Amino acid sequence: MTFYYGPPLQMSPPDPTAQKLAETMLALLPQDGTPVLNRVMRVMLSRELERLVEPKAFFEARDRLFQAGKIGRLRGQGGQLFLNQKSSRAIQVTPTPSEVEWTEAKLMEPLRRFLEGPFREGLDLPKGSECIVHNTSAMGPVRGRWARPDFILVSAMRFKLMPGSQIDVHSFELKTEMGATDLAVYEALAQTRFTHFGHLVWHLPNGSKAEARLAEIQNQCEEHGIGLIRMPDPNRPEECLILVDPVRKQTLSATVDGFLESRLTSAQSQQVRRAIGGEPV
Amino acid sequence: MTGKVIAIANMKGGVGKTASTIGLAEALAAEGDEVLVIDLDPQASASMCLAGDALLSELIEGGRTIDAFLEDYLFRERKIKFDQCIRAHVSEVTHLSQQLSISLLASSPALRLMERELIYKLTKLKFDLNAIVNRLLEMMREQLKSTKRSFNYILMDCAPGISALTEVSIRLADLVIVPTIPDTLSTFGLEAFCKSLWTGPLAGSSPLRKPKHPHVLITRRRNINEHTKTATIIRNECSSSRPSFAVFRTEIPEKAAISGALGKIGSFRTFANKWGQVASIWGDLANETREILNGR
Repeated sequence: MTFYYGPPLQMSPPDPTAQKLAETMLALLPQDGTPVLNRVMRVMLSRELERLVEPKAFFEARDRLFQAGKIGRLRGQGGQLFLNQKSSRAIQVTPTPSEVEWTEAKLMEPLRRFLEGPFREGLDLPKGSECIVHNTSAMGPVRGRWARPDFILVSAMRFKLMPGSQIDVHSFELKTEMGATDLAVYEALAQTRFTHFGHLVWHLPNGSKAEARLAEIQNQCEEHGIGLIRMPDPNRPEECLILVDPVRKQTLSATVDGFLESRLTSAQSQQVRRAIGGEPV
Repeated sequence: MTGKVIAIANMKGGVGKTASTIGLAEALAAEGDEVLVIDLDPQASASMCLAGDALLSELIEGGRTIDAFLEDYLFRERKIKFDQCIRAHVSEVTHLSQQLSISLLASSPALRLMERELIYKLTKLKFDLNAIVNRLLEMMREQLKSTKRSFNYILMDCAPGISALTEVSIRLADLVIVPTIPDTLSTFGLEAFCKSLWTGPLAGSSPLRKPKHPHVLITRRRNINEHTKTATIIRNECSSSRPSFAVFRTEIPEKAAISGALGKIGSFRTFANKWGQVASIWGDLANETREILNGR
């Protein structure tokens, strides 16, 4: 069934003044700067003031605080607001300078350098193995939701003593400073439908306001077996930190095979086959 | 607006009275209705689920509970009104970005003592049990008269057993919902409950206002033989010549999502997100409730 929410049937008393609303909003916002959804803040205000807070009054009070530099705002998913630690300084509505500078597109190259360098080294692959890092951000089904990782890394190796070989496929979802929410974790998780390991890579400079969300994101990654990589400075990709190691998913080989077939170039496919000693198809 | 009063009651505990109250209240409110929940259970579970720990503590400290109201009204001669104790806009839940319009007259553990004290004092004044219930009945009827004007639905979550307040709620209600697990013990309890208030000799001879025909809501339904068999027996009752009760078409399944949702206090979910796959079932129950009460 579909629910309908019509206009309130009960007459509400007049809205409190914007000033009163603003003061209550400040008192309700978490002191540690954790952002709160606009939807949730309206409910918190209604509960606190025991009256309906209309959107118009809410946004008026919120804008008043924002202009006074007391709160900051995050865009997307209904919008969020957070307590500005330094209330004397107004926060820009527009993205912060670092965000302007480091868009997702611009972060791709530093991530590639990290994956091909320190990350690959960390895999400790035996001699004769192959490791392919491939930009897949624009590949995949047009309408496929969460089916296009920004990068994949494919490692192919033969065992040193035992017969046989192994292919591991990692997917990486890249997020900007303000772009990482718990939804990003689910996005990385969804990509493991096709891969063995899922990672979330977050451009999170030291001292960023977004650090308030780090504990929650880290917690979500641990709960879902998703790796978390922090990129503090894209100019120095070698300084990326692996905060959470991913857990290997039991993705069906046939599914991984189909995914690779549609993403890798024929030259890359040959590389993989050579590494595992298989015959070219 | 003339609010319809719904009592959710059963002598047996653990049958899903509070879950049904919360689920139905939120589904009605999600469709735009103004809903009041009156918690008549000293366990205060419905109050906790709706208001959360901090707000409930505030209400108890501020004397905005049913027991505080009864004490003031009956013993302290302070003729306060229900409306002064009702807390509006308690819900943390939203639907289509709007807070659900649910108000609460909370309960507290003091209600149990309050009820005992009430019976003790009135008995000393030579009131018999019927007179006590009648006194409470008149008082509640009087209070609800004005309260009804502000709400579409008033849901009363009764305590297990048949306390004086439960009996009053049942006699006042436009609809009595009896949540029942379709198993042997619960059905046995259901029969006893119906005899006490509707079909037994004591019920017939009571001078008090006759309660409306009860509606059984099958709850905590599992896909096992015993539940299937018992649910059929319960439904067959409707086709008997003089049925003791009616039965809702909607059944509430036993789902982890329900207990999970009731525990989601302080998380400010949307209605759909809070209840998951059960949200539509509460919606069906709300529709059926409207049909019964308003013929639509």
